[in-house]
Amino acid sequence: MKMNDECRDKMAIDRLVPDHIKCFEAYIPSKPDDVLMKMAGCSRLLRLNNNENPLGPPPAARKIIESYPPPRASVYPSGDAYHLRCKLAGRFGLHPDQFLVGNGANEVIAFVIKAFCQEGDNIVTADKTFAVYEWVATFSGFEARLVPLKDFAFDDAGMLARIDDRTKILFVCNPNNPTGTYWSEERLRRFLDRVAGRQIVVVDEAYCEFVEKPDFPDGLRLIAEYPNLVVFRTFSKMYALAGLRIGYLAGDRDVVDIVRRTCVVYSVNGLAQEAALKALGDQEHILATRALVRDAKRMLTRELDHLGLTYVSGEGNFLMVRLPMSDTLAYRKLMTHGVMVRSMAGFRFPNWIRITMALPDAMNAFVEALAEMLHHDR
Amino acid sequence: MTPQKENRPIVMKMPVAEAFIFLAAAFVNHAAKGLGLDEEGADALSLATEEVIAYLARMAHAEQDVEICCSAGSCFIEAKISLPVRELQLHAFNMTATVNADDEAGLDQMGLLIASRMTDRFRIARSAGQRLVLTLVKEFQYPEIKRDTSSQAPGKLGQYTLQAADAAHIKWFLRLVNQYYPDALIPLDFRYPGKVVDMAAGGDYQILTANGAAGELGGGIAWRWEGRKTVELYGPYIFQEHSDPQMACDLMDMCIGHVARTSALTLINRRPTPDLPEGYLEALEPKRDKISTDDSDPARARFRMMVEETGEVVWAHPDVVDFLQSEYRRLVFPRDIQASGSDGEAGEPFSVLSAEIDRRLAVATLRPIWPGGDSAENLAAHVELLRREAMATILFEMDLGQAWQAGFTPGLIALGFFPRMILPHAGSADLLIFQLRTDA
Repeated sequence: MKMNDECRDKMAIDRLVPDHIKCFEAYIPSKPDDVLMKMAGCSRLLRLNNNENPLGPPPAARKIIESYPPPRASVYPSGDAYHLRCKLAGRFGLHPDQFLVGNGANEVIAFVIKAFCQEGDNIVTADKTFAVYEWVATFSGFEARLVPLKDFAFDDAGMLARIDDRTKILFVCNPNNPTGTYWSEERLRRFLDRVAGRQIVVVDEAYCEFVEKPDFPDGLRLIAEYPNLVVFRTFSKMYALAGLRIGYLAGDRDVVDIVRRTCVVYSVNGLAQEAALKALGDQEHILATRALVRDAKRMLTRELDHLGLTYVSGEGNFLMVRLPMSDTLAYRKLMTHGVMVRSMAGFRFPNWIRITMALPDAMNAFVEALAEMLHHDR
Repeated sequence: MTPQKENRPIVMKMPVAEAFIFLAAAFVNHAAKGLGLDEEGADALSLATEEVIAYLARMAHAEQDVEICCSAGSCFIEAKISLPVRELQLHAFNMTATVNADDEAGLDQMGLLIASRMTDRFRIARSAGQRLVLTLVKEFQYPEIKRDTSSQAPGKLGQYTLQAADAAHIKWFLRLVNQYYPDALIPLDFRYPGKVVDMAAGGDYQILTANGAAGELGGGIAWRWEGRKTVELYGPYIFQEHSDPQMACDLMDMCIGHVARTSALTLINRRPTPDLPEGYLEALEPKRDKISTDDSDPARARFRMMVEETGEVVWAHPDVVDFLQSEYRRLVFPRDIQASGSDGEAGEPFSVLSAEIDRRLAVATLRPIWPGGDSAENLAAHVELLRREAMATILFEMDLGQAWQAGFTPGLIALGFFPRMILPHAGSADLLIFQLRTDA
């Protein structure tokens, strides 16, 4: 049907759109693997871009996925992930009402911002970190105050200095994606003491299960002492359930009660809830994944040293490499070899790429493609 | 008290009829003055409007309404004249519609051409909903930078911080840029400090400078948006006696950091300076012999993608497929090039081209608006006209995301245009830029 001019004039959609939406551009995710492979002309695709766990879900979760009865797909899931919240509560010594489960951790970021921010408010976070805190704040019409990283880590003093009367939430990614740096428990406590309950402090622990350092804080344990602390975790990374989209937040009951008011119930599907229930706390899986990451990092850093490249290798199942070329060009060139990495310009690290630690074959293929690309570029 | 500058658009709607020509002219004159344009500029803009409306009154149907919208940019006033058009009328909006190329008097009678001569920029484009939009732009007048005084460049700065330049630092930065760099590496705007200050205040330019501990100005970088998907970068400019590669890298990092997480897909630098650090940008143009007589500009355009390229389909006439394949291979852009051409199907009789004329730079850019069987003749007429208007550079922008635009290729090649470069993602897909050979 052709829209007539009068109708189009009346619609004038521009007049309906808030200014902060006009200025914002939709995030365009990657195309599906089959389309990417066809475009890049490669017969395989090694996904080293999204920090996925190449071991796949823990065995018990895998079994749930394999045996999920089709008729269950026609039944609504638990609207608030009741059993999963009970299990989380038991495992971490908190009350089930201290948890909110979302369709990936991204959804709970939106819940918290919606719950606490109103027109004129702001959030404070780092400039070079996971983008979603900044995005959700910006497209919701709130200012995102970005504090430069210091030595690749969140700058606590810098963040505190940006707080004003309208600051509602401070977002800390611990360990930071993509640098892998982290705040120790002592540093986090010092920060929380300085904030003194005046703002909500969100600590995103998406990669906490990968960290083996003894001074790394367990945010969930600190909630009792700091009722303004909200902790995010996900089943996408260590537990390899990224495709099912499930994550959660935990906090003081009063805080979570507020956040729940903005929460979309029934957003987490039943299969995700059941798989997460079984995956949670599989220590063997965690140890196997940590070993894989350790081995892959050892091999990769050795090869990067050999190639004379600078890198930042901290906590988490990834590391960042600085290239003597544009990161987005490197992305395109590596794609022709069937290797997909994350270009870092979007993280404000131009000429850096982030690589997910993977199985030896994939790591070898990456190193080979990288060496060839650099050789051709010289 | 100084009255606050008005920047809301002012809109008038009226019938396209001879009786209202002067109303339109008076409206634009008063609106332009109210928005801050001087008497002379407002008169030129209103005369141009008068010509356009008179032209439309002859071409359009009397029952149609025309909408005139005057608005202020950071350094210019713009009058947008739009009206709904029926397809059969479209061909009348070629700038050449009434031109008899052999008859100077005929040229002088052409309203659209006269309008273009009275303004700094003039363009015709087709917008959504079958509306045709004629845009007339008149810039504010600014004094040119004084070149008779020189500022001393600082020695090597041990420490520096990067900061968004305020008005005073912008002027200082421009003095140093004009002093230390050849014209070929400086955009024309940089000769007019007041204009750049206004544009920066309006968000059109962003300028970062590197300042030493004692306030010395060691270098800087500037960028501006071209539409929603492309950012053009200028510099980096380093003023220290011995260049400072680290400062150049820091400026680049900061610039890219600002542009990241915006709608920009590509960053382009048409005038890279010798200070541009290796590895940040890619060569945009293929290696080829000199393309113009202007040998003062040996620099080659550079670009970088701001996002991960995931590939797309482009449409092209067989005559340029070799060029595209070779360029996409060099740039490592995954593209599915689909052939587009006529297979004898019925088509429109008359093509339409829009022309954007920049008189200061003597650059004209043609863009296809509507396909038609007369595309080769129409192109030839436009080229003839633009040559008469002393345009030194004539470009043609082909959107490779629009299959029908490929139909203009044979006409372009026959006239002496050659495919010069691809601008990734600058249209609905990539833009293929053709340029007319100077010896054609």
